[in-house]
Amino acid sequence: MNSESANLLFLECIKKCKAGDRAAQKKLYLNNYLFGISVCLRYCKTKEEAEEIFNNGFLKVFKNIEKYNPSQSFKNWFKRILINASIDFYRSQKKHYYNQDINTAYSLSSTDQNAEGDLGEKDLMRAVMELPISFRTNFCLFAIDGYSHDEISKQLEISVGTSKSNVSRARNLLRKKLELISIRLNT
Amino acid sequence: MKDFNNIPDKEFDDLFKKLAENAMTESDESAWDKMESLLNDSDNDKGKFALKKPLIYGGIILLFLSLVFMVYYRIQESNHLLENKNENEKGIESVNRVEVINNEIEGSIEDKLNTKGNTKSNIKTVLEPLALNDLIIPKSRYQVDSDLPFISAKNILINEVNNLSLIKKLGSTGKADYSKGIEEFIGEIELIADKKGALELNELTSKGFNYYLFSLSPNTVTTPVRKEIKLEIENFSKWNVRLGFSPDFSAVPHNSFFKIGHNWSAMVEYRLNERWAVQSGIIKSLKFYVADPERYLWPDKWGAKPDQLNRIDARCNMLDIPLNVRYDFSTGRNKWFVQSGLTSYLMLNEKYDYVYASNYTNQTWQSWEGKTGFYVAAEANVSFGVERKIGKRMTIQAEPFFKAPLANVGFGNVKLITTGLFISSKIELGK
Repeated sequence: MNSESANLLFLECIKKCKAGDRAAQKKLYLNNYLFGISVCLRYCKTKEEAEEIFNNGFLKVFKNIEKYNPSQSFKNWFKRILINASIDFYRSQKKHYYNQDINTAYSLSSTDQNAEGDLGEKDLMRAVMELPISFRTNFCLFAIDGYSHDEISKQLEISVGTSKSNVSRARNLLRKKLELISIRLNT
Repeated sequence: MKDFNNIPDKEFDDLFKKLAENAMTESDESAWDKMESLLNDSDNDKGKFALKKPLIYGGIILLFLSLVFMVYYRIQESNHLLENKNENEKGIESVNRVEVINNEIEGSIEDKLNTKGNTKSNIKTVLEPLALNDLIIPKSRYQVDSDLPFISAKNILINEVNNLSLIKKLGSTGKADYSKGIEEFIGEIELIADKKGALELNELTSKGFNYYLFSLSPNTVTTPVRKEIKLEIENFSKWNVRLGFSPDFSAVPHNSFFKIGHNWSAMVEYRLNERWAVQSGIIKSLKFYVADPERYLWPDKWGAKPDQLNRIDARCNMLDIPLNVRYDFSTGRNKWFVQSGLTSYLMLNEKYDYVYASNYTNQTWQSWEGKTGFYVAAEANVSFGVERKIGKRMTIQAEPFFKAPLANVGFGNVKLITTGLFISSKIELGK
């Protein structure tokens, strides 16, 4: 299937989704499931939470699909919705997460005992996932999803300085953690 | 092996960006089932909203029509008052003329009556024109000239005697046959005096004086009578500020009161007329309540609700934003009123402590703290009370209130009942 016919099929699917066609909605949902879940996982603690955010995000997609402009990338539009849903979730869980962050921060040194094999993609992403949630959210928004510090400060209701500091501290923690894993792998 | 400590920040970030873009999780075949159920719920909610829609729009239209009616009523009333005021101003002119005349003859009146201050005070206490019927003068104390037949009880004869007017009230009905020097005014005439003045006139009578001496100019007494003229119209301030405090008793239905909270209020009141007012503002509210697990929504993502969960203790700091309509069913110094409206909540901080059975060890979720946002028209409120004027521009008010739930609120989606007693003080800002 060439890209043109794929695009036509996608547009047809969107059209049916706008009309509330459940089969088309399922197709759109499953086609974007893996991508969407991986975005949500960056901003929460568990797969269950990621699924909840993803489903809530997709509900917004279906409700607002009339607003989607087919000349734009669906994934970018969809990703923006998911990140906003993730941030809403993060805000609602902030206090609770804060308590967990302390525990996570203390247990950083012990979790690297589990790292095995070469320092591969999984180790790197696991290191990100083990960051305290506030640092991780800030780091992912800035480094991975391309938000500016100004945007982050508004989204997370923090100052620009705090956003910069969080990203910097996240990088330092990641560097230390990866260094520890490297040393252990070399010995 | 990369030296992560020495690569630049940008390169370091890009490394993770690339990894994240390629990262894929495992697919989950059952995921769509959850999504479909969410979509079905959402469709059902749409249906519920569609049912509620006519009610909501009907309510809005009714509210709008009520407001239009109140504004129309207010304008009509203002026009009426303006007309009255214009007429009263004419009356005031007459009063002023009378006062001038009396000032000129003050001394002679006192000399003639051989009494101190009475006539003077009669005139000076004149505030507004009154219909004759408002004067309380015992008929038996009048000296009636035997050669004068009865005339209408509402008529008065005035005899000009040395710049003074002699007024006699004569009997009931009948026609007058005027004696020389006596001028009759047919029909109801306006007498410039107030009730206090009338009483003082009576005192004169009791001292043996048979005549009431007035200085009434003919122009004044020929003014047609206006029976229910008020020189001073009832005043009210359109814009008012009210500050208040109330203890807060909140509870989830079928649960007992837990702990007393409090409410601090700052309200603005706009008075549409003497009886109707609308008000809104902010009430900073601290509520405590307890909920049993059946009436508290346990988050799905936390897994199954533990059977050992006994209760949830809640402490909610919130802004209560009411929109009320008030009706005063009495006016004057003490006003009794009834008030009703809708209350919206903006959560500032919610804290829920989960209380488990003492032998339960797996207490993963012990508390939750955060805020869940804004709840529009979450409660209907009704109150009644009494307001008392304690100064020129200040009142104090006692107002028991009751708030009934219209929607679920808070992290636990509970229905909340609130009651209390507001003690507030109103400051009138101006007209």
